[in-house]
Amino acid sequence: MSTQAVHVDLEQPPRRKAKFIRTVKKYWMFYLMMLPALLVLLLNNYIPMFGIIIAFKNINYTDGILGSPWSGFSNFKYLFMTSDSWVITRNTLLYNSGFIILNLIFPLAFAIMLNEIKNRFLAKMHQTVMFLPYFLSMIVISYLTYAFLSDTNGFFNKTLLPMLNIDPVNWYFTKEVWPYILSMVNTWKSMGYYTVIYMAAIIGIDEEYYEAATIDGASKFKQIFTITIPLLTPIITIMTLLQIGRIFNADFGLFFQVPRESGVLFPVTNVIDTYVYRTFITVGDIGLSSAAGLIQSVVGFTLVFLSNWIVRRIDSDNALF
Amino acid sequence: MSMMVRTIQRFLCWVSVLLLIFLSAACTNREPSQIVVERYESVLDDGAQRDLKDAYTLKLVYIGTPQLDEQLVEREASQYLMEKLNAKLDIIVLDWGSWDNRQNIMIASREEFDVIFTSQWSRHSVNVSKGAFIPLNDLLEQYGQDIIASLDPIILQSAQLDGINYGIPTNKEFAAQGGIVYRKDIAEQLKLNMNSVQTIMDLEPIYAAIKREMPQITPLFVKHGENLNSHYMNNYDALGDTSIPGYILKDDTSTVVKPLYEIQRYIDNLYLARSFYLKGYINMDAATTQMMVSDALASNEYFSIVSPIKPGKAEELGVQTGLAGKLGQIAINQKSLATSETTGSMLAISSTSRHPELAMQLINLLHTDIYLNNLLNFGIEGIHYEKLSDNVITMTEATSRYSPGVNWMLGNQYINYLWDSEDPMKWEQFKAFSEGAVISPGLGFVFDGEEVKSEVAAVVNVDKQYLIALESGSVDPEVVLPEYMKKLQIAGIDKIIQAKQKQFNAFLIKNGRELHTE
Repeated sequence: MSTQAVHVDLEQPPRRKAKFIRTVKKYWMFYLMMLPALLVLLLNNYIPMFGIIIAFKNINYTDGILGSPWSGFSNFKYLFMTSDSWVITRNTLLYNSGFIILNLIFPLAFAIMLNEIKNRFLAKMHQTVMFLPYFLSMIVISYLTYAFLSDTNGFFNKTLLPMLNIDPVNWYFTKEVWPYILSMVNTWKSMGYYTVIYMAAIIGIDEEYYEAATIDGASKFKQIFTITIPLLTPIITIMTLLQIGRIFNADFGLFFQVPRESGVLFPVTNVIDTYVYRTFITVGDIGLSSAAGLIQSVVGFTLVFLSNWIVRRIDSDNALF
Repeated sequence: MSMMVRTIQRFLCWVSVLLLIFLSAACTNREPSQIVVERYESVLDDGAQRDLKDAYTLKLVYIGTPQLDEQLVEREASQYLMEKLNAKLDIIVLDWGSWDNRQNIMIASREEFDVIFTSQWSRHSVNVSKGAFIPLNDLLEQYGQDIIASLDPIILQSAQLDGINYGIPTNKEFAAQGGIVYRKDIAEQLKLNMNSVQTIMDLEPIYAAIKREMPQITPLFVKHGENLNSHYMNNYDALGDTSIPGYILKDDTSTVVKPLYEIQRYIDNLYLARSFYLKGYINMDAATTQMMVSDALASNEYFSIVSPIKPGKAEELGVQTGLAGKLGQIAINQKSLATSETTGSMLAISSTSRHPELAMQLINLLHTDIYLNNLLNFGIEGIHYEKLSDNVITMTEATSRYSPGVNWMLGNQYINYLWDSEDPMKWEQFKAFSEGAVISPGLGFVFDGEEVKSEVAAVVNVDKQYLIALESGSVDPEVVLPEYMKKLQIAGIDKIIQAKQKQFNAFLIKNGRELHTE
């Protein structure tokens, strides 16, 4: 048994190569179909990585990217200079963690509920209506929010609060409420998208499990918690891992457009992306913004590996790789 | 199988319906402008259309609102330039709202263009240090003799960075003054004595009356960069880029560079703005609004705005906002002259230009060629305006199709035509206005912020958080100002001010000027 294993190992390199060629010959059409996507990935994601050196240079356009003088880590300095660096890191991480949880609980709950609706037309309609906000631009959403929260003409201040005999609130100056507003807006916008993914996974579950459970006398809730959710664990893990990889990249549109650049709200709305954008727009130095981009990528990359490693330790079937 | 066929059929059906919708939308959008172009096509001289194809196209980039008839004007200008320079013209207009953004991106991505508007408030010195613009001294000597002859040498010289011109200032009024532009019609209706207004403080009774008599009108519209503490209202001199802290006063002799919060009039104005805000004289959304001041006036919801003042400013704004004859202006500080004015509007040549010599000749023409200058500013005679006399023009129904309103960016304002609604003595007033302005001790100096780049980046973000909320009166300076100051200090404002002071002192000594430290 053990000698055989060694034998196989020694034989593997040449055989693996031969096997690869055989696989390509057999499935050449699939590889051909994959080619455009691979090319895009190469052109769009790998070749531009050369630009990473901009983060370590003091760029000027006469010398070009290669000719500009090196500046070591000085471009990174501004990110850690003020108390803001703590605020923006905290905001980015907390919001994104919150969003990951919300984007799991609500879509999952809705997917299960929609799946239980017997009237297919109503289920489809709900699903479509929920999906709609996903396609709206953040600019539009920013104005929708403004229509609710505007100081003088907003729905809250003009209609709702007077009806309840409450004094108008200066929403864009009240930073306490914004973590909730932003979470709500984000959930409302992305819920439809994740619901569809989870619904697709639920539909893929074999009906026989449920039939067997019904015969055994399991209630609907019992079925959900012992069949649906356990069988969804792989997709839940993948979706969560993918989001953790982007935990350092905040949704720029959400944090920049929706609070309408109100400085008073910065302690709860400033995230790394908006901070970097404001710096680039006012200072106009691509070295500074590249530095921030690089940090985001490195941290994101590390986090994906780390969380995947943790998942693999717990249950290797659910890990991404 | 039949199920699948049905799905495909249904899909194709949807696609064709969508296509139809898009196509019809596209068609209805096209038609009107196409008609106008065709209608006026005959006006153009077809004979001059010779080798338009292979000539070099000069790209001119400036800020403004894109105009419907831009193509018509481009074609006309191209034909004229073919004779003069053997080149064509392509106008690229970047919207005010996206100017900072798109300018940065065009420059950083090394897009090819030739002539670009630049200004001290638009990061001229940063772009120069990044190598975005080419030095113009030799080109000016060779192709810009007309500019040298017509432009005041002091202006040309004070626009230099270390003795080199990277931008050619527009020949216009150079003094700066701040004040308010207000609704004359409302003031007359309520019999308000606007002549009593000498300082910002004098506005209080006027605004109180507006608030009392016309509660639906907000007395003053302010926003980021356009408020009681704007630099033009108070003669603050930022000695270069206004986003970098460290100011002197243009109307004072002191050469000590200070942060704004150590200048008394700044603090006074913060408290005044706060009291205005609490009394409801200032728009509640001041800290977040993105509306341009001209749109605010046009909305009929506001009585006044703060504005840089020059002769005829109210009339200019009146034409722009559709309130011609209904606006008045009051200046409320001393006229002054500083680097921000001499470098407030310039044309530079991009380092990506393939024919800098042609670009320089284009700038030279904009400064001297009456036909070309007015073509780009007012459009085509007989279409966008009618001539009443040699230099007085009147509106036509197509005027709104081409009125970019960027005269102060393109070359030389003194050769512009005048609208018949404007004062025929406008240019004489411009000249008189430039005289007798108090000259800032910092004239000619521009701070190079490269050594404190990280600190500036940090301070800029602190400013974004506090500045407009404070300056508009939206928050209580008593509470927020100390917090703001503390954040600025952590961000390294002292280091920036020290660096600025050091460079400024060196400049003063080099130019044989005195240091006043009291």
